[in-house]
Amino acid sequence: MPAEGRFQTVLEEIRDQAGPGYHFSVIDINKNPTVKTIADRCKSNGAAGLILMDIKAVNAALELQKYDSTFRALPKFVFMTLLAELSTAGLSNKAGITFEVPVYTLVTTFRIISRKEFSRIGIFYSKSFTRSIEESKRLLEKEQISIISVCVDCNQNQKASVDNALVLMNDSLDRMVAKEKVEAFIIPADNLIVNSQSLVELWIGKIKKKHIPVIATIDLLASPKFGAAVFTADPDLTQLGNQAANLIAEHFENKTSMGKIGFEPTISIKSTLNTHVAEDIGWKFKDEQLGRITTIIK
Amino acid sequence: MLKRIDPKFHHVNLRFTKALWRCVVLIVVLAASMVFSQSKLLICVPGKQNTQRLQNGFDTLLGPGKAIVLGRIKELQALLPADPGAAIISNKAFFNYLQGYTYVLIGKKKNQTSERYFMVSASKEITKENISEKKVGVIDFLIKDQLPRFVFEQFNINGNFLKRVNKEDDLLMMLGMEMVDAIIVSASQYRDIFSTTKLPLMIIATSENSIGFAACATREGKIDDGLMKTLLRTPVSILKELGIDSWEKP
Repeated sequence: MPAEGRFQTVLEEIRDQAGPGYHFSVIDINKNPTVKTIADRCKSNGAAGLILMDIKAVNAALELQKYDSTFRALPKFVFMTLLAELSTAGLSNKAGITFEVPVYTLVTTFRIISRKEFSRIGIFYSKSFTRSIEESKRLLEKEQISIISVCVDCNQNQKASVDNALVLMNDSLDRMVAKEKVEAFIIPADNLIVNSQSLVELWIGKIKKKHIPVIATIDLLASPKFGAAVFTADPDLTQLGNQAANLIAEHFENKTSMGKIGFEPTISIKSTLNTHVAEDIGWKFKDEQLGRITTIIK
Repeated sequence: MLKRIDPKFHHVNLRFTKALWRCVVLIVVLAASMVFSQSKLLICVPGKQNTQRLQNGFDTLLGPGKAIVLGRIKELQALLPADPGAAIISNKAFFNYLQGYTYVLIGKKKNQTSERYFMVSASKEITKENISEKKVGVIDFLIKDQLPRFVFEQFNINGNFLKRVNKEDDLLMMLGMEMVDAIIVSASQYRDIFSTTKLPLMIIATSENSIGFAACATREGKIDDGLMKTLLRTPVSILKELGIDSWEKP
C-alpha cells in the first residue's frame, strides 16, 4: 500500500478491529520495491495473507504470483482500489471491497433527505462500469427507482474520448429530461464523464441551469469551489477499515473461502450537502433527516 | 449578646471578611469542580450517525471536557479501566453484560423503559426457520463476544454469521444491497427504517425480551449530585439523540 494518510486510516482501523491475534507488516508500494524484495519480506514474515491497497499494490501482487507460483495460494484482500473486480483479473484467491460509493447508497440516501419524491435518475457511464450500473438498476428497482442510463463509449465505431463523450451527453440530455422524465442526475467517479470541459459545459452550464439536482461520488463536486453537485458521498474510511477487518476475520476465523467472500460494496459513507446549490435549483430537504449528513455547506 | 466592633477596626474587619468570603467561595468552587471532574461522563450509544452533534450537546450541558462521546462500544471498553469512577450512558443491554455497575438513571420513551428488537428481512424467501445459516446485519452495540450471545439469547440463532456495522443507516444499505439476508433492529429503529425505504420489509422474528433504552450507570450506583441534577435537565434535542424522551430515577 502507499504510505499516504488515507491508506493509513484504513490500516489503523483494520489493526484496531482485528486485534492482537494479527500482525501487520507494511510495504510502501510507492517506494517501488522489487518483486524479490516483496517475496523475501512475505517469506521472512511468514505472511498468511496479503492486503492490497491501491492499483499499484494489486499489480505488484500479480508480479509476485508470476515470480513465485507459491504466492498464488496466499489469500489476497483488495481494498481502496477503483474498479477492484476488473483491476484484479488474473489475481488468484482474492476477495475485497469495491471502493466506489454504490449508486444504490448515493441515490437512496439522497431520497431519504429530499422533500420531493423522485423515481427516475439519469446516469452517463463508460463501459467499464456496465456491470455495476446493471446491478444498481436491479437493486434500485426494489426501491421503486428507475435508472435511465447512457453509455458514452459503447459504440464500437467511435473512439472513446472526452470530446466524443461530451457530444453524446449533450445530445442525450434533452431526450432524457423531456421524454424519459429524468428528475436527477448522478456523476460517477469517471473522468470520461466528469472533467473540466464537461463540468463547465454540461453539468453546470446545462443541467444545473435546468434546476435538476446532480448527485455525485466525488466529494469535491459539492465544494463551494465547484458547486456542481447538491449532494455527494465518499467512502467513510474508518468504517471501511472496520468492514475490511470483518472480511479478514470471516476468512481466518469463520474459515469462509475467499471465493465465497468475493467482492462486496463499500457500506458506509461520509456525505456532503451544499445548501447554496440546493437554493439555486430550488431543491428542499427534510430538516429532521439532515442529522445523517456528515458535512452541510451553508 | 450584641458585640460592637470598634469603628476604627471596622473597615479592616470588613476587608478581612470580604477576603475570607472570596477564599471560601474559591475553595467551594474548586472543591465542586474537583468532585465534578472526578465524575466524568462517558457516553456511547452505538448506531448514532453523528457523534459530534451529541458531543457538542453534552459540552453545552456540562461544560467542555466533562463528557466524552464515543461512537463505538470498543472505545468505551478501552476507556473503562482508566476511569472506573466515570458515569456511563449506554444501551441498557450493554450493562447487562457489565459487572459492578448500577443504574442511576433510566431512559424512557413514550412512557416505556424498553422495547422489543426485530429481525427484519426484505425477501419472502427468508424465514425464521432458514435464517440460522444466512448473514444477519446488526449494530455493533456490545463487546465483541457478547453480540453473538445476545443474538442467540434473544433470537435463538447462531451468531456466527453476523455482519457488524456502526451506523444505523448502514443496516438499511446492507439489506438493500443484499449483503445480508436480514437485519436486527429495535422497534424504534424499525419505524425509522420503514419510513425511509420502499423495500418490502418483513419482521421474521421478535426478541425473547424487551430490551431497555439508554441508561446511565455508575460503579455501585454512586453519582455526584450536581451531575445527576444536570442530567435530569438534559434538553429534548440531546435526549432524542440518545433515543429517549426523558430520564427517571430507578
